Amino acid sequence: MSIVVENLSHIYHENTALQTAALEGVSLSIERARWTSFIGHTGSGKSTLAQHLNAILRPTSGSVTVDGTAVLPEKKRDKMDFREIRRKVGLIFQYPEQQLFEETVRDELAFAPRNWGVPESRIGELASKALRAVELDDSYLERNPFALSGGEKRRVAIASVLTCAPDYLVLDEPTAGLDERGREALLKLLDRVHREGTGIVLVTHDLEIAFSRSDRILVLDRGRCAGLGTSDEIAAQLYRQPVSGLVLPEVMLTALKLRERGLRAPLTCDAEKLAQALIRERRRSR
Amino acid sequence: MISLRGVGYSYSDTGRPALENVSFEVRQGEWIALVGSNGSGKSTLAKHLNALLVPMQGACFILGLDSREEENLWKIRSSVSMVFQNPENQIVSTVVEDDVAFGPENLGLPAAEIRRRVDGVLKVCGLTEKAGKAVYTLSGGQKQRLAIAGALAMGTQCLVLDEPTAMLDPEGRQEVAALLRDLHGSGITIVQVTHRLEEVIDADRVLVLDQGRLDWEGTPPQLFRLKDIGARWGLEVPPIVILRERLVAAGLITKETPPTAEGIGTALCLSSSKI
Repeated sequence: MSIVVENLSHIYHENTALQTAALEGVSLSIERARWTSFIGHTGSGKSTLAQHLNAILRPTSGSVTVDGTAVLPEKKRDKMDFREIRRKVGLIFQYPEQQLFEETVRDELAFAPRNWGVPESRIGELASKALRAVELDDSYLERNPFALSGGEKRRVAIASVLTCAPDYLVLDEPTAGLDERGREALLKLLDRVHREGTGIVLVTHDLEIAFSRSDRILVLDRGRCAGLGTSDEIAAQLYRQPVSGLVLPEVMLTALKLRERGLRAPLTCDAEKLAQALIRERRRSR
Repeated sequence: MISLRGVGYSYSDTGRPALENVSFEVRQGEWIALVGSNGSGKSTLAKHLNALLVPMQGACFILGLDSREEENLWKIRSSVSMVFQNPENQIVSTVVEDDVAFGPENLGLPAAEIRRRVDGVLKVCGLTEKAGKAVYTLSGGQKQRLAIAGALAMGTQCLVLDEPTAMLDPEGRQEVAALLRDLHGSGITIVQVTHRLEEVIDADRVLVLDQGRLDWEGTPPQLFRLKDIGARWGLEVPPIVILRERLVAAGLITKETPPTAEGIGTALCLSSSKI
């Protein structure tokens, strides 16, 4: 169970004066059991890559396959199994609340299952389940999505993708614009969805989130792969060779500085963990 | 120095009041940090401390003077000064020393006294070399220090700062923090409004406002021991601050260590080489 990206390139406005290479020769394998993060500066190509994963964008060259189903280039789109890809991969754009369009939360949540031909009798149950997943209750079903708070709108938009129970959930900067309370609630939701077996692909420039949760991190820099590895590997790499726009979290930076000076310190963003390790280490050496 | 008793304030007749039944004391020489998320009422509260706003319910006494009595305003404002978020809004002259002299001149002080005060506060604020320079040549941090210098030149005993570092870069924030530490050391009372918890580490006491009410009060280490700051108040304790707190508590680094990777890294290496 994986999404395989091989030597993927994407050129916007090809053969026009506006031609821009957004991705060049990117390869990686995204396992469903893992949490994968794409990090990079604005304009590094991370959103472009994310949008290939459910065929919103099609490769200019190279390939993307979702559990064996290929995302085909534009000229072969008639042969592509869009349904299969879109059922497997749910994509949540940045500011997903802008995607809301129905008059009630119930219709918003019912929209995708209806399109999939789910019988009307089952839709209510799916909607309730998705609402519970984002910690809202059934009292929201009859409300107008446009009258909700910013954080609630975002949760409804995410619930509307969860109704289809995708195998992979791709999220583009899902915490942008949320306050601390909203950010923590959203991360808790993603942790749970991940635990329950959904593959998470997170596009973010919040390195603290990326380092604290990812099994694998892809670093993009001007459309090219500038690193692919575990959180520890990528942290150490960014410390040696900084990539513009990617600032290491202070706690992890502290650990890296200590290691450089010959002290033992775990590579982590978790302040409590690092503090405990340092205190233990000091007691041991006394 | 300042005493609030059951202060309430509303901006409109309908809707939630901006402040509800807020009571606390600020003692002479104390450093108080007033924290809360957006809309918690902290700026409204700050404006009560030098009578820019007066309570609708309850009362506010500053140096024992009731802020509702108009004849007290002059004395209140000359002993408690406000410094705002944007330094640009509180600088009135084009030359640094002229700006500092503006307040004392309005007090009608003799020229020699004005000179003495201007030189004195510029030195305290680290702006002596900038005395004759144009204000527009200053950095953000220098401008905010100039705004503080202007307040000090008036002989203020208490500074109320409303998010003084919100518009500054990290360097400017550190300059202002260092100045506040010096002023606190010299006996000035400080009330600092902020939502950046890394800035409250030097305060004697932290007050947390939530939806117009005083919800929590304690020392910075007590605050950082709480587990639910994010969910409860929408505030974030930067992880580096937590790391610093734990290491200070365990005696691995001193409490003067700044909450930065470089500061903590250097302090730990120093202390480990001593054993």
